[in-house]
Amino acid sequence: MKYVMKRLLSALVVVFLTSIIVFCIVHLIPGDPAMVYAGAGAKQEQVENVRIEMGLDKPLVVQYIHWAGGILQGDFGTSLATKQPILPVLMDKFHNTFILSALGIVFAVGFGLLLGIVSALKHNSFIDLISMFIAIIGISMPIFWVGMLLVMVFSVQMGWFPATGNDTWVSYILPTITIGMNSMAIITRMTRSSVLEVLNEDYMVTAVAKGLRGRTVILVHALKNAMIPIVTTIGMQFGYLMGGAVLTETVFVYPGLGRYLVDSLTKRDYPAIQASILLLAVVFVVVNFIVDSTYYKLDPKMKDA
Amino acid sequence: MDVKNLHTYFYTKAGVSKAVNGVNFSLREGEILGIIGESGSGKSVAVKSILQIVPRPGKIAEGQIIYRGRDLLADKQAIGQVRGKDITMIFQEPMTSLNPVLTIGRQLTEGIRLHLGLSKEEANQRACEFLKQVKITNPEELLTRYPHHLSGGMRQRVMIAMALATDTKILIADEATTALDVTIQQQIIYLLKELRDRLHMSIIFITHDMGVINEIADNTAVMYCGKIQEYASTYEVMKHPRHPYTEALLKAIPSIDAEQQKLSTIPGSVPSLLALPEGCSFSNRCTQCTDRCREEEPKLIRLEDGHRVRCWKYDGQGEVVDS
Amino acid sequence: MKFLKRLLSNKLAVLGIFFILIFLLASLFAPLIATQDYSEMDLYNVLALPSAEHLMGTDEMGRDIFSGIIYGARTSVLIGVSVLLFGGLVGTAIGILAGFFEGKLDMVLMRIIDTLMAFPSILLAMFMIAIIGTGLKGAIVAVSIATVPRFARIVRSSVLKTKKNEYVDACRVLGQSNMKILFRHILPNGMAPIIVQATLTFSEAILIISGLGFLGLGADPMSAEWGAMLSNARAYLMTKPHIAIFPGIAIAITVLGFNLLGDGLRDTLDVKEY
Repeated sequence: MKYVMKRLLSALVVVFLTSIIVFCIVHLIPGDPAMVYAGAGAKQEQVENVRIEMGLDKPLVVQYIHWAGGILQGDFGTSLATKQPILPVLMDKFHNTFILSALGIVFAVGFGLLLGIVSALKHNSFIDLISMFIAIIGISMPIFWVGMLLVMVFSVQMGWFPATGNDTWVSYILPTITIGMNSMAIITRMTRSSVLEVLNEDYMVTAVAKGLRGRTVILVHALKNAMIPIVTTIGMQFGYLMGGAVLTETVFVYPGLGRYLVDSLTKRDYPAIQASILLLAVVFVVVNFIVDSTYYKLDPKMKDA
Repeated sequence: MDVKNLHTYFYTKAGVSKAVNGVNFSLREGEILGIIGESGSGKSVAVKSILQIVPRPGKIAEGQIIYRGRDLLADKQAIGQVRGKDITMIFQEPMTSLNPVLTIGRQLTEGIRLHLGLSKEEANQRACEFLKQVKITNPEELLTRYPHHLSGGMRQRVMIAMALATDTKILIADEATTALDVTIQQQIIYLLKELRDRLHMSIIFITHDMGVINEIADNTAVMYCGKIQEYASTYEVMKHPRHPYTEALLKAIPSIDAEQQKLSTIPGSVPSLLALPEGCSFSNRCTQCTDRCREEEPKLIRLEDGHRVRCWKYDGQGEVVDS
Repeated sequence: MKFLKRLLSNKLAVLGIFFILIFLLASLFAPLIATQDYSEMDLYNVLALPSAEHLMGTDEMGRDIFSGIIYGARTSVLIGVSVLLFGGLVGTAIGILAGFFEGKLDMVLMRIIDTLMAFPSILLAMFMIAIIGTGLKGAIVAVSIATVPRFARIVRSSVLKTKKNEYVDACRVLGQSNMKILFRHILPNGMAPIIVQATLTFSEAILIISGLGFLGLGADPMSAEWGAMLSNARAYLMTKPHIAIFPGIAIAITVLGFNLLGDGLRDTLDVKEY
């Protein structure tokens, strides 16, 4: 329990630090933040108005407390581009990205574990060769290009799936493969090497010498050990997947958080940038915390630590 | 149990390595057989062949292992019934031979439940019983613990309990004391001897330590390059070694009481199993080597007192028992 | 030499080296290989299919795609080398400081590094771009900073592991200075994981920067950068897929080359983690 509390505490520290850095973005960019908020071509008078209105004339600490307090109450500020409150839009986009990432990780874990385990058990076989080939290709192709190829083949040529949108469940298939491809490849490689390593352990010989059934040996003795590093990888991949979602979202014109962040970046919509980065950061921290806690459950050595 | 003409080869890229190259021995009920040899002599592979757990790319190429009238190598069903039940094994590294993520209880009881068909409670009870047999004082508590909570000696006791709890008839101990401290080593040796007497089982004890063999084994086989070079009662092997290799091994043991001035070493090193010398495999290191030794391989001979030895020195002094 | 022989006996690593050689040759001799200047637009001949004149066709502005890919190799070398120089050096320095001196400094540095590691590189890069602004230079700086944490981690653990060797104690006993021990003994012996990481960083840098280019946050769409070349291709997937295919292949082959080499190096140098 002590371990979990410690992780929770460090997670909170990370969120706090990230919030400070995110808050500072506007002050780090060259130029006057009030001018940024007022927009290009604003008159001196307007800039001054914005400065007072947004409290930019107050000390930084006061500004931070004001900003963070607002966020804690669900106020992420107003978009410079649309002049609308950010929160509802942000939640909507986040919801979409979360669904896509969740589908992607399910796809990646399902195929990754399967391919990884099979290729480890059939080490150096034809199946092993094929899955390793898929895996190295999977980590080498840019995911946005994977998406474009899938669209070219399955939407344009075959006409099986729509190339854009998120209105029906079929429209999720290509984006899911695209977003999950890279993680699938990494999980496959990780699973394979982890299972291979475990298979060489002395306790595997013990298990076989005990006369246990093959299934028990693999499922209980091998996988329970191999899962420890695999779970860490999967957790990290889920975070990475959400971060990389922007590429998939752009290819499939999918209204997600990543796309929203890129649009805000190009429009220099700083409140929106701050809000989306902070939200993504919190998601990573939460995911990492969950992974660490699972790790703790899986590895008995951690319980004493 | 009779092991007949056992050959286990490793098929590597560099060639076929004949780790076990024609091994014969029998094990009587209640006997402790010691097998001694340097690393790479094939002793460990030979006993792993009995349970058919030779690591890849090793394969049993030839031979018979007759246990209670059935050939374990030919009869798939027989080995399935015997492995982990009648014949069990403990290993060199107690630190890594137990699964780190499973409780001691789980690891102890899974064999019992599978082979004896007991319920979980009955299996737990039996596990505790055997933990007591190996002199563990708090068995109930131990069942809920994980291997990393235990010291090396304790883990080896758990391994022994695990190996015995299935009504074992033959226990194979593969360098089971090598990784332990000397005092713990002694405790384990006495424990094994005591358990042999109480449970009427046989033990095959593998080691590279002459001192350990002397303390535990009734009979001793000396292995070198995949073959048994000498085989006799442990007393005979220690007091009247016949094979030059055994003599050399004995001379390499430091002794407190003997007026030995310089500890001798065996010159040279074990030849590669991929390129064994033409004649006797020890010929390149033997001080009494003749031309014949280099050209022709000696056969195992049973001398009049029952002592078996594979060396040309004894040619014609007894009956040839295997090629 | 023995190391090279073992590396070359790994068929996949050799394939990787082959891809990398093509890539390096293309970038080195770009003006000789390219059939024309990539910035040259032929507005009467836009979106042309591959032909003898335009080996890989032309894009929506009538620029020759083949020449773009060849010059793009130059951009990619620039990207990989700069990211390695900035990110690798800074990361290595932090890793050495943390691993060699341990203690409080190590704790503080690793806390920061762990926090940064929790975020995917592309997001860190986007965060940096929010501050620095878009463009290739911004993207390179951003990706460099994003690679610092992993380098620091690997160097640190390598230094920590090597430091435990007895020969390091021996040097201490002999009274050698910290600097001498570090550069003469620890770094050369702890080099293997760093080399592997450098290879993988090169490919990752190309991947991320092409991603940023694709999003319009990286290289200018007018410049010869593979990701940027793909940014407009999306619109023509239905009608002119060749615009999307060739730059994609270029990225995939180059990245594959470095990944294969990285895998080969990892096996040959017997590096466990990455």
